[in-house]
Order: sequence, then structure tokens, then C-alpha cells
Amino acid sequence: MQKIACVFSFKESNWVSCQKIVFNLHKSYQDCTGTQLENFNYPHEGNKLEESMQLAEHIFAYAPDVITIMDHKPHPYHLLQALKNIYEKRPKPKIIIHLFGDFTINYNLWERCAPILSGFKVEFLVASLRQKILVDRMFIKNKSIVCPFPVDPNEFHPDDELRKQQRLEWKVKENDMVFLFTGRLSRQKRIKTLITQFAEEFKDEPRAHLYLYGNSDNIGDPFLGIFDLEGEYFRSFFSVYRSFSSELQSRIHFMGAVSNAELKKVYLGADVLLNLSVHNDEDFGMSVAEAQFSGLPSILTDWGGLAGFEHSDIPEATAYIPVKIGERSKLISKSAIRSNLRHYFNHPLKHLRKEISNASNEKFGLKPVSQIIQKSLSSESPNFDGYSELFYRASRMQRVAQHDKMYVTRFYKINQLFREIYSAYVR
Amino acid sequence: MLDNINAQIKRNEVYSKLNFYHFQRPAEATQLTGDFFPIMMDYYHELNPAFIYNLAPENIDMMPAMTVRDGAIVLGAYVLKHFQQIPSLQTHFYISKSLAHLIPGNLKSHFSCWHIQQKKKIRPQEAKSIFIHGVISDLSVDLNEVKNKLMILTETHPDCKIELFLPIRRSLFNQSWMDSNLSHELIELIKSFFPQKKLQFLNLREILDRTSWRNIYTIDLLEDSLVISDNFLNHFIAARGGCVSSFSETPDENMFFELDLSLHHKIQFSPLPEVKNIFAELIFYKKQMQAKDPITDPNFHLLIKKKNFNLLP
Repeated sequence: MQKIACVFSFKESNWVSCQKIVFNLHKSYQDCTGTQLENFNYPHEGNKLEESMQLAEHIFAYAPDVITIMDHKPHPYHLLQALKNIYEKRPKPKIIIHLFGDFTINYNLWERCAPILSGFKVEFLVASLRQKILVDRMFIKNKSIVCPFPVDPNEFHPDDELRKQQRLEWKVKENDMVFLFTGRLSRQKRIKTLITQFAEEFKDEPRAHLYLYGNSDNIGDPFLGIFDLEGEYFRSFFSVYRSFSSELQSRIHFMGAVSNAELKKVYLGADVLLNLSVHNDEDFGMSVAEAQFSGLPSILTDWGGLAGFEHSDIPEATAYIPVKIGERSKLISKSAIRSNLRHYFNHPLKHLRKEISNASNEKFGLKPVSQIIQKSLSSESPNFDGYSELFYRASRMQRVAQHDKMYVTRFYKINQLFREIYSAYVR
Repeated sequence: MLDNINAQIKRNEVYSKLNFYHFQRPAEATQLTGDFFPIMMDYYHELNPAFIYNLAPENIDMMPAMTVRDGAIVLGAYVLKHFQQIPSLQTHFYISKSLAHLIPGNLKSHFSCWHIQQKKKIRPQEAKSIFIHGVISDLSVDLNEVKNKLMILTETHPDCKIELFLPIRRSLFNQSWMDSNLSHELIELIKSFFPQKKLQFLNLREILDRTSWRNIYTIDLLEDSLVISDNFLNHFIAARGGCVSSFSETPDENMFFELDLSLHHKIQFSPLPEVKNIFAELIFYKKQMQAKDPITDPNFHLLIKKKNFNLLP
């Protein structure tokens, strides 16, 4: 029996998608055979060295074969430091670290982990192939393993009855087409582009509806020197929305944030998911996974983790919008957005909902993810070999620029460092 | 008034996005900015939300319109100091309706009002959490008023959590520092409303990291507009679906223009209401206390707070 110490915060993250990710990852660990799990609380707010020492002692007392760090917060630096002290001259357990999208905003902390990790056998698990390309560029020899964030098929699956209920609630007819976005209404999610392209394509099409679930934020695009005040991006896209005819406005529905339970019905009621994110943290796309489990085809940007949602058996289930790293910004093809909107409007895939759901389950369900974890638990992992020159350049730049503008030149053009790192996120 | 609004929107520029607003402010504003953090943090809409105290005199009339966020003390002092210059300014000022009494009759054409409407509000009984916030000092918090505000919380859901953000500020508006038990008394008072509940103190990081404030009922202890009339935290919370006690569920009946500030709340603009102004009292104060800077004078604070000159020593 392999003893696994699962380390995560018992208090849920403020990031809705991360709440589900940790919960579902844990379920996948539970499904592994020949393992015994013990949970250790590493609270988000309590990342102090003394607390980390205590936690490390508790973990040591459990005598695990593997320590798995499953949460994105707090950063494990203090815990790893404490573990290193305890295990100094003792046989060391293997460490599995699930890397989230925020890996790229914490270079400095990861840099401090280098001498600590060097004595351990370490496995880095990432959520998508594109993230693997990015993360692998940051190591000298270590190779990360793709382990998607799992979805529970019992939670998200096609359901005709709930679909009918949701559409009744929305007051849309059976032959109306509902395009759906769920997530933060954020600059890097390109909400303004999303509504303008929808409006342009469907201004005279009373059967086309766009539903957006989520609240606005003020994150901006700080890596590229764009800092938004509270409300600034909201005004930017909402004033465009207000300039549309009242008929068109009545078909673009801003619904605010809803609970996970309500979202389940929302995915079922919709016909196509839209996600135009070019966010620097886009390592996966939990909302896309849940939508696909519910049977929705998707129009996605070919960026980061979103690129991993194609299914070879049903290629028509996913349409990709090309993304280019431009001179000053990440550019997405507007004509491709419109042509794909029109394509799904003319050729809805309602008859393929079950197939799409099954294909997603085979890729991102608890079981396949559990198999990846099982393999990772039982494999002989390499020692940590250190970071690459690219990593140290990024870390140095982050220290100097304090995140702000670390990827732009004096004249706000995207710099070479950004291109070297984020070329991993584009085709 | 609509002309100013259109001109401001056309100008497509606001103070809070300009460098001088942050880096060339009057010296005394620096202290105030620190004392008011985070409630004075900037937010955005096209009608230029900003603090008068943060603007140097040469920059005050750069914009056709400005949504004034200052409270009664700063606005009162500003009107008192500049009432002769205001007619020559190109800026039209939008102030909180609760500050209309500070504007003398002859300056009314330079001022209008703003009003925040929150479309869907919940009752405290429906909330999964009550969040009470305010910057605490002897000037900003009156325990009797707090008690009145908290009366609506006598019925809360049994599982309802009580969360607090009550940073203590030593001397708002440079009041002289003296020993104060206010913060302890305030917590005692809050506890008396929820004897069975554990109070949870949030820090600013926890507040700003929270992406959804749905089903949270927020009480702003500074809603009387004495020290600030437009609090950043209320906008932040409302934009994320939280219910803000000081925002009105009903629209302003006299509104002639409105802007959505988020999916959940909007700002509405209307003419200055007909109220009795206290400008004569302000002038009388100025004559009596010539050497004093009203912003830091406790007598002026008292006058503004009680709206009655006879209460002054």
C-alpha cells in the first residue's frame, strides 16, 4: 500500500474553477488502487514558516511514500523548505506538484525552491499539452506530465429534461440558437470582441442569442502594461453593448455570476460554448471541459490550454480561432469568429451531444485522470535538475519589473522574452 | 448639464488615469490618501470620479465634468475656500445628494447630483454573510449611528457569517491623537447584535481576492458621507454581485442621465435638490476662525456633522 500525503487548503479558493479542480483531483486520487490517502490542510492565508514547519512535521509523522501538492495557493515554498529540513539525511518521499496557470506569475518563488527541490525526486503535473511545452522550457532536464483537471461525469452530462427547463427559464424557443460564455468578464477573455462579433454576425438574426455568465473584473493585462481601474473594462464593453439596437440588446444577456449548481443547467440549455480567452494563465479551461461534458460544441481561441479540447473522433465539436502574438497585443482572427458563429448557427450539433460528452469523458473524466495519476505515482521519477536559462531570465525580469510591464518594451511593444515563453501557447 | 456630460464623454479622459492626479497632488492630500486607503482607491466611469482634495488648483477645471467622491468635510471646505472662483471654472460638479446643503444658491448651476442604484438587493435575512466595513476613527464613526444601522440585522439566518473589515486610523484629517476606546466599543456593540456568532476579520487581500460577493449583505459604516461620499469598496462589492446597504434599490426620480457601473449597479445624475443650505453658517465660521484650515479643524467637523453653528464652542 502506497501512502500518499495530499496537501491542499481545506478552505475553498476564491477562484471558482480552482475550487472544483482541487475537489475533483482529490476524487481522482481516491480512485487510484493500492494507495492510502491522508489529507493535510495547507491554508491559503497561512503561509508562514512556523505553520509550514508544523505541517511538515505532521506529514513526516505520517511517513508518506508520496507527497502531492494539489492546490494553487499558497505557494509551496515554505512547506518545501520545512520538508527539506526534516528529511535532510533521511530517505525522501517523492513529491508530485500540480502546476496551475499561475506558475508564470511566481517565477521568483519557484526560483527559491530550486536548491530545496534538488534533493527530491519530483514530478510536475500540468493540465494541458501547451502548458507542458511552456513549463518544459523552464527546466533543464525534467519533463512535466500532462494530467488534465478532471470533471465528474456524474455532475456534468447531457439531460434533455433540464435542457428544456433551462430554455423555458430563458424564454427561448427550440429552434433558437443559444451561444454561451461562462467566466470572468475580463479584458484577457476578449469580451468586447465577443459581443461585437456576435452583434455583427447576427444583428438581423432574431433566433441568435448570446448568454454571458460571470461578473466583470479589473485584472487588465498587466504583463503587457495594461492596468484597468475597477469598472474600466466593464465600461469599455458595456458602452459598446448599449450602442446596439434595443432588439439586439435584448438578445445579448448579461446574467452575472451564478452557483455551480445553476451553471450545470446553463450548459445544458445552451447550444454552443464560446471562449475567446488569451489570458496569460490559461493553462486549461475548466468551463470548456464542463460544457463539453454537457454535450456542447465549442468555439475556442487556439491559445494555451484551450487548444487541448479537440477530439479526433468528433473534430466538428471544436472550432478554433487562430491567435497570433502581435506587435502590442495577442491578436485573434475576427473573421474566423464570425464564420464559426455562422457555421454553428447553420449546422447545430444537437444530435451529437452524447458523443461530445463521451469523448470528453474519455479525456478529462475522473477515470482517465486517475490512470495518469496512478502511473505517475508508480513511476520512477527523476531528481530535480534545475531551471533553464529562460526561466532565470524570466525570474530576473519579474524581480526588476515587479510583474508590471515585464513583457513590454519602453514603447509598449511585446518583447522577445514574452515571445520565447508564450510561443508555447500558440500554434 | 447634458452638455457637460457629453463634452466629458467626448473628451474620453479622466483624472484618475492621468499621472498628475497621483503624483502632483497637494502636499496635504498625501496624508489623507494614506488615511483613506482603501476606500479612496480609484474606480472608473466616463464622468470622471475623483477627489477634489487630490487636485492641485491649476488642474481643477481641466475636465468638463467631475463626479466628486469627497465627503462633506472636504467639499464644505472647498466650497468655502473657492466660492468666488467656482463660477469661472469650466467644470460641472456632480456631488452626492446628501451633500446638497453645502452648495450656496448662487453656485447651484455649477452642481448636480449623483445617486447609485442597485437593481436587485437582498434582505439581511437572506444573506449567507453580513460584511461590515469602515475606516475607524472618532471622527468617522458614531456609535449611536452604528447602533441604528445595525438594527436591521436583528434577524439574520442562523448560518449567516459575520465578516468585518474595520481598519483603525489614528487621526483622520489630522485630528490630534488621543487615547480612544472606540474600536473596542464598536466591536462590543457589533458582538451584542450577534452574541452567538464568531466575528471574522478580513484583511484587504482577502476582500480583493474574493471574486463573488453574491448573497453577501454589506453595511458601510461611513455611509453618512462625512469623510467620504463615494467608497471604492462599495463599488467593488456591488460589481461582484454583493448587496450594499447604502445603495438605493429605487432609481432617482429626477434622473436625466445614467451610466451602468457594473451588471449590478448604476450611477444616475439629477439636478441639485431644493434643500436649505448652510453656506451662511460656513461663511460665519470662516470669519470667526480665519487662521484655521477647516479640513483639520474639529470645530468645522462639528459644524459640518451637526449642520448647526450654535453647537460650536
